[in-house]
Amino acid sequence: MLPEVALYLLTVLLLPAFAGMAVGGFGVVMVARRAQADRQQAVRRAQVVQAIAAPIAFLASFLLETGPVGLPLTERWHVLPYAVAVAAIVGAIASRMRLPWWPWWVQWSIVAAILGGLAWKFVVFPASNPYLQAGLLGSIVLVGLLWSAVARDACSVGMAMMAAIVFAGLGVLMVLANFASLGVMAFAVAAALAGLGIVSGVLNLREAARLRAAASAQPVAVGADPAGAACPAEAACELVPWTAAAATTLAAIACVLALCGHAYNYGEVRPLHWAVILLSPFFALLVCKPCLRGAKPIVGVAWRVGLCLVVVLVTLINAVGRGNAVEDAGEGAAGSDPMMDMLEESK
Amino acid sequence: MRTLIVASSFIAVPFLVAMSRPMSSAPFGAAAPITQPAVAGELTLDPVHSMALFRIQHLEAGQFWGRINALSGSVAWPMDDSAAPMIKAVAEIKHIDTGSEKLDNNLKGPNFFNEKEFPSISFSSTGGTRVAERHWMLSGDLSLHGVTKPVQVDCVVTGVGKGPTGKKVGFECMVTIKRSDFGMTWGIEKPPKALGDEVRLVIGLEADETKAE
Repeated sequence: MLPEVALYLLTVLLLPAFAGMAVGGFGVVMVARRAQADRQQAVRRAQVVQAIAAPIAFLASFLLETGPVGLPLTERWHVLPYAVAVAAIVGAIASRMRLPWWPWWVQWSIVAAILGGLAWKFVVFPASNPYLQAGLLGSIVLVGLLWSAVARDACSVGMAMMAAIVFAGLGVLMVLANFASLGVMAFAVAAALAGLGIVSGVLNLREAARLRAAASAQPVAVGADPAGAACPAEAACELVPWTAAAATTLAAIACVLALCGHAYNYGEVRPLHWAVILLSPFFALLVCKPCLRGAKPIVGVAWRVGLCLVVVLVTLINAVGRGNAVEDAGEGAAGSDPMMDMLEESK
Repeated sequence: MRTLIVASSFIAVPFLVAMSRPMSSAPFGAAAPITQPAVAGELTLDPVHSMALFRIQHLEAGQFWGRINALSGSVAWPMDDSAAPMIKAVAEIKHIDTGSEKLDNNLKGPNFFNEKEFPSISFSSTGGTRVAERHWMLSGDLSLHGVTKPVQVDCVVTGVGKGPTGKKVGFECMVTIKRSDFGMTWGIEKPPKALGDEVRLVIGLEADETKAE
């Protein structure tokens, strides 16, 4: 039994995670191997690949866990692979586009609004109503903009890790909501993002070391700041920065998954739990600018990821605690007999 | 002569009428399909005393039992057992009861019954063949998890008693289905062998004579 369960987990969890990580990692590796001359082009390609890495992990996990789903849909939550595929395509296209004549927040709003509008129109779960659908549109725009802002400020490793924490948190909430299949899929996305973050981190460190070695090999010019020579290396180690489009795509997928979990919730997960976990990367913005400027990149990553993790963990502990409290109350209720209570009262 | 004609017509007409009717059952209770009862008594299911028990193998080990309470519906059955009971029964997933609230919620969730989309299970018999006295093999349609399939249900009339509103009839029906036929596949292969595919349903029904308005 145990080897079979291990094989199952390997199939539906690790295999999709490796698929997503491999796709995203391939882009980063390609950039690392490119010469400086055509690196810019490679970075833009890698950013497109980065936008579709997590969706690929989700689609692979869905395919392995649930199997292919055709149209018309037999169950409403089977719309998820289609929604994620559309989000990936929009994200990939938006990653390639550069609209320099508009301010950054206008571009991100457009991508978020397109993804939110598509979800609002086509992604419908049980007990949906116009307010809930409008809420989905609004949440994709809001969370998309926030995640984009975080991606603009945080480095690629930090962003990947924060998104991994969010999806892992969503996975736990799915299990608590009695939706194990979707939990496994969320874990697969989290594992792919974590793997992508690790690949990015290792390559970034290697790149930084290479640039430092190159800088130290060159003679320091008279009057130049020796400390400043190391700075370009630190800056250039960001091989493939996250695009707002990729961050918005991830945010849209997270919002749709959260709403799906909420729609089929049979546990003790409250809407606030989904909301706090979706917004947890926002808390990273609180520490990003003033106090971390000038700090080493690893310190910045640790602060942001750590804060996001704390928020998610507190939410999960709250959700699990609530479930246990209800269970205890339920056991107490099961032990009491209403008829006996009535007899006691009549005495 | 006229008297003879009148007398013979009194004999012949009922005979011809009887010949023109389809026979309600084959001789010696042989398995002849019956689609409609000849004279059906209308009975309404008593939800308090009607339930469905389901049995499924857990982790290739024990047979786990759960129940769905408060079945509703109707039965058309002539008390003289001249025809098969025509059962229309509905089980609502919200009445699932395994003795564990956590497990109930899990079963209501999208990995199993998906109550939010498919809130009830229904069975509607379309005919039946006699097995023995008050024992029928019913054929009918079972709708579960959004899929409707024909099934054969073994049904025994357990007794006819007297209730507060009139006659009360008990039925016990059994059917074994493969849940994968109805699109409920979680736990069969993924995760592997967590739960069996075959589900045995034992349905206990009590039906009351419907009072004329």
